Amino acid sequence: MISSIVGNYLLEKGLITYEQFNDLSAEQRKVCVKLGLIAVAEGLMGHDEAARVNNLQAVMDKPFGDIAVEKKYLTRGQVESLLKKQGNAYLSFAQAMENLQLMTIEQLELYMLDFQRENQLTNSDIEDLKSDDAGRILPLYMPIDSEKYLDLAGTALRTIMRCVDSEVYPGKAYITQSCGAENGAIQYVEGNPCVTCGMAGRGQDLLQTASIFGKEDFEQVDEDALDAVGELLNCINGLYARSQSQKGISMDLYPPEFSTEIGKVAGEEMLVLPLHIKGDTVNFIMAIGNKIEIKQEA
Amino acid sequence: MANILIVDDSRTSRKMLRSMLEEAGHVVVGEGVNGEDGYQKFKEVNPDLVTLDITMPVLDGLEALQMIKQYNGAAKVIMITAAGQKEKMIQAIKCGAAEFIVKPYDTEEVKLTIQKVLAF
Repeated sequence: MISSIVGNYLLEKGLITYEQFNDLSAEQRKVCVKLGLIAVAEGLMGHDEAARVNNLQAVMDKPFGDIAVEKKYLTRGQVESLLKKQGNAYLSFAQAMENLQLMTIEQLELYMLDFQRENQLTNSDIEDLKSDDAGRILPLYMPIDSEKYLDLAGTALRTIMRCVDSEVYPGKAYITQSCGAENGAIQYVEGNPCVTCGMAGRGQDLLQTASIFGKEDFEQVDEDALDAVGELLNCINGLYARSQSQKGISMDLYPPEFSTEIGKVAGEEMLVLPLHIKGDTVNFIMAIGNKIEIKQEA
Repeated sequence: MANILIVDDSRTSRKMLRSMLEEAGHVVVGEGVNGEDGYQKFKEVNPDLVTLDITMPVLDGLEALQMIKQYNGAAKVIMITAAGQKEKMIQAIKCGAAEFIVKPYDTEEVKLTIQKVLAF
């Protein structure tokens, strides 16, 4: 996530080109190896066991290492040693920049100071960003300090990272009563408090999300594509409901609703978190404690 | 190999499951788009096994499960659910569901669960 955030900043500033940004993503994938691959390469896990843990991540919303320990494939000590070998995401981003001779780590650090100043971030905020941990990064983009909204947004971000785009990154979230959109899906979850969340976009913004999650090449954001978006919401809300049930809160999911002709999503109050997914911006909309609805008129 | 009926309101979900089941050598003999439709299709095609999504419009999975079990007490039904639906899972067990599969689908889990229920 840090590489997408900083990479896009450098791109916006004209310090790297779009082609260099794409090369950078590919180079970083080479530099930053997934934990499961390192575990297999080190002979600590079999390929099938690593694949099983990857699949379980989609339904358990937990880090690879935690599941591998739970399943007794790895010990906690082995996970810590593997994490050290995997290295820090920011440093591997810097390494990829150097490998491609785009800039040195010293130059990158200078641009990071500009980024920090422009975004009014503290040193501690920058450390959170460099951690590449969704749980530490997300609060920097949220307008309110609410555990429930952070839990839901974190569940959504991690699920999208696993099932749609590992390089998804957030934009500044805001609170509103109405969010303009042309198409999207929402799902109501009954509970105390109730939750409604949705994904909405304009034009073909949701196309990549639908195609990747639905494992189908949709040609446009039609009802079939939005059905796939609804299923993604169903997975996010299911994981959120499970985390809430561990706190003694029971939740009941309703079938997702979707429409190709939205004017806006509106309600008493909602939090809109823009997510940059595969080059498109999709609004992830959350309302906790009140209902939001799809409205046909703008 | 078994004749399987898929009941789910989501086209995406039906398509993913169909592909996994066919890859495992099963025959998908029908698809229902809600609980009511699923119940009618069950009576028409008399499948070896039904996969039944819990969260559906018109009739939800639990209501459809009760109707199917009332029609044929020996029906083998696997409930499909998102994570976090513990209470509904317990209700479904009480109503005679054989097993659960949690979305998003894990191919291996789908194959093993179906094998287990068919062997029972």
